[in-house]
Amino acid sequence: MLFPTLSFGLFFLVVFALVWTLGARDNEWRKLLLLVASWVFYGAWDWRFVLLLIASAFINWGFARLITRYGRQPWLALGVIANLGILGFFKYFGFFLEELAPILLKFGLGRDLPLLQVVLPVGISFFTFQGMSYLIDIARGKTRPASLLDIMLLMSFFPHLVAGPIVRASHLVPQFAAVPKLTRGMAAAGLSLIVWGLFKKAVVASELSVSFVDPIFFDPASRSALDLLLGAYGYAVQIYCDFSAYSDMAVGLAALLGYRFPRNFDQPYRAESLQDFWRRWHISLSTWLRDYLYISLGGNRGGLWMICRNLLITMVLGGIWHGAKWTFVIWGALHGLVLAAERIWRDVKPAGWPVLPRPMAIFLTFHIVTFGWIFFRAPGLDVAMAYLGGIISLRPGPVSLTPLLGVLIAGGMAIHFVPPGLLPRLAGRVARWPAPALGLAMGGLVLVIDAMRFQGVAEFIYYQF
Amino acid sequence: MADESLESPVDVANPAGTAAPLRWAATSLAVAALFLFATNSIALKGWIDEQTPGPWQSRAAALAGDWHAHMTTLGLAAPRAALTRLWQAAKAEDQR
Repeated sequence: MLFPTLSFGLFFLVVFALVWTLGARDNEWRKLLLLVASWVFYGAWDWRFVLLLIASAFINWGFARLITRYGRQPWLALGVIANLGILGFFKYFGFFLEELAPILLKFGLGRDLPLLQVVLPVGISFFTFQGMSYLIDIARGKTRPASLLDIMLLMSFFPHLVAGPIVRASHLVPQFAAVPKLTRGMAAAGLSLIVWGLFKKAVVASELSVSFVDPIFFDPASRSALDLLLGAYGYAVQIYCDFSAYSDMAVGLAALLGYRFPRNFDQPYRAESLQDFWRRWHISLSTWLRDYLYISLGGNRGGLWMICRNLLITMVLGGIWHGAKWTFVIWGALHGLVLAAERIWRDVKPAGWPVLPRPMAIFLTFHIVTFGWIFFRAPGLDVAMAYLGGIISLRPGPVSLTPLLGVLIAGGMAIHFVPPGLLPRLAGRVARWPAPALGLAMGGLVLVIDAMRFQGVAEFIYYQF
Repeated sequence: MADESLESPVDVANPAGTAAPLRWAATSLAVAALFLFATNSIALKGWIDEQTPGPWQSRAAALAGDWHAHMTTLGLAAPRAALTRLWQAAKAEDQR
């Protein structure tokens, strides 16, 4: 069930109506209702995924109890291994088998390799990370053990289930404990985010994907250098409009149910360095990697080279989190190396040396990020190399960018330069409107978006992770 | 855990003098849904047509077809059709 579909719209209206008919004393029933609704939402892909989700929540609830009762050793390690085991089996088993097969065949051992097609459950990376952060927070004393119902709901809650934001137990479980309260400001912001996200996904990201980016990445060898360069810019805008749209809608939907989700994007292409980029892009993942991986590796302790090592390991593992492909490893390593280089430069730069002007720093950072996106988007290493080779060769030829697509790319970039407080200000004004006026305005906007959207809805890019 | 990453885009101050936020949000959603039910009947028809065929689906498809025809007669489906035509024409012009 995808957010920008009628199926989901009807589903959400039913959930909204049922949840708010429950009184203040029925908070446990409300949570149960949200849990069942989340299973229905997830089961629309494959009901077997729901069993996995329940098992995963049960495992995390159990290990949290063991950690609380008997201490972190060995239960925390076992709990993390259990989560990684689930993630590893579903996400990386096929990859390792594929990589192992040629080696074993060389030694005449590969004949009996199992032919096992493992279906990747949607959103598995998100809910296993959520489970792990819960266990680590319990062990660190940052959160208290929650009830089985709360843990099940934390991991299954449908607004963030399949593509984040990764909302931590310490943030969401206390909200589950209280009776949710809706304010006009919150509802207005939620509705604005949903409509805005719908526009970014259904119009900008889908149009760019189908009409421009996908054909270029399908056959980069036949494209001119300029076309490839513009295709990379197109993908930079597409992935931002796609993923931030999902986050906006997730935050908005949760708000309408009375829950606060954290911000996940903050004008990332305005970043002045890669470190700044990761403070603005997929914030819930970057803070997760910082708090649970980078700090666990030693963080900023141990001197410059240890810091660089930790940055590189964190980003390579962050790359692998996206999928079992060499292109993700390279993407992560690129980010790790540039982050390390920035750190070294900050430490060794002689005092008094000029600092790069802000526009230049933004320009440079955007191009490093876009260079990384080529690896991120390419279906394989051969395609990524052909893509880069085509740009470097300065191959002449036609350009497939049309004026309309150019406007979409420019518009996607322009989003980054609107004042950051615009949406809250707009929501603050909308909150004063009479309800029928807001309903008509929202209906009108959705009608325009629906008239402009592509036939059918492409899945969100981050559903595959 | 006080953390800058917990800032939320829905932290919007509640305007003074506004009451009954739930009724306000529910009315807004209901009006939007009714507006779309009337003006975007083609989407409803398309969605029902895509469902797994069966006795309920064929009955619902017939009802949705009748509803869309009725809305077209009343002229309520015209804005959506005109918008789609405009957008498609703009795209066709863009491809030339």
